[in-house]
Amino acid sequence: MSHHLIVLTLALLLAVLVRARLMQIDLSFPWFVALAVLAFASTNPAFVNWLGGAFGILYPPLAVVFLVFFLLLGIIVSMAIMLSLLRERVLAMVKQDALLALSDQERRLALANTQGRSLADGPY
Amino acid sequence: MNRVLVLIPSFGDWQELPRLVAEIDRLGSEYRSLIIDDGSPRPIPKPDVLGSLLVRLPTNIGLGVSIGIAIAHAAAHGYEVLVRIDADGQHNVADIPLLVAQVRVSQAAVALGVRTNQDFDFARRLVKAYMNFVAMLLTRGAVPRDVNSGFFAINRAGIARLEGSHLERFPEPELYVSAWRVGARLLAVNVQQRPRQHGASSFGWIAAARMLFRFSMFALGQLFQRTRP
Repeated sequence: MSHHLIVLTLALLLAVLVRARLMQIDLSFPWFVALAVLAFASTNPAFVNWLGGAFGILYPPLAVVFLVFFLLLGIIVSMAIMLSLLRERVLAMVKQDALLALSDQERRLALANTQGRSLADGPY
Repeated sequence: MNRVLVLIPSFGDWQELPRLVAEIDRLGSEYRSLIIDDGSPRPIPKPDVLGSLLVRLPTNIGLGVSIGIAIAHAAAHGYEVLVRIDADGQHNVADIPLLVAQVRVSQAAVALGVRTNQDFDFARRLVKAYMNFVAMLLTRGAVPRDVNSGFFAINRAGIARLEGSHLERFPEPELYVSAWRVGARLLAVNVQQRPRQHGASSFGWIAAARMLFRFSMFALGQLFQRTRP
């Protein structure tokens, strides 16, 4: 009974994280849900035996362990992809922001040249 | 009319900047310096030279992005040549016109300042030898030795070809190989490197390992790209 409680607590924690917007649904959520479902299902010996048979593993609980490894790997890879994409977007924004600031400085300098006034104290 | 943009990327190296910007200003009216403060812990103050540009990135992102910004800015504002020098004063400002002249009069789109007085420790020599060797293999010897040199000039044709290149940390070897890949010719210009005036090199064993890994991955990627036209 205690293992059911642990799995339920973890599933609830996942729901709370999504609810509090600490985890976005479109990131690694499907992998986490799969992990939670697997945890629930693994408390059933019939499912564990079926899984072991399906994978041809003589000691059925090992099938659950392998499946957990696979899901964790899925989470890590999807997180890494998301982080990389996020970083690309941040870099693009920083670059765009810098280019806008530099264009503004060029415009001010061109204006100063045409009007013959000093911009030494001008805001950059 | 400013036709040559001199990029000085900096992360915390501010002591030499006023002198460098003043020296660049003295090269002539066609030169304009551009300082990119790559998220220094203390914001770099703007040198007191009218006409210089300064932009601060919100956080430390890496040299490749600073070079990418300079290339994009040079392309957008019609600069003829983009030059890059270090902020620590190791590159001699007096050498800049040599590199600029090479990309103006020769067929080369990129002039690379090859250091003739390198005095590196064992780790650095090893990393640089590896990178030079791999870069030479990738480009069939077209890239000058010293692919880690951060002193270069790119003309307008090179700027146009390299605009949009994806560069991150330790970007020089990737930049030169990419330049060759997009059809730019590279030329070596021998220069003397001055001793570092301030600060210490950030190049340690960890940085060397990261640099090696990154460049190796880049080189691996190059092997799967179509050969140069």
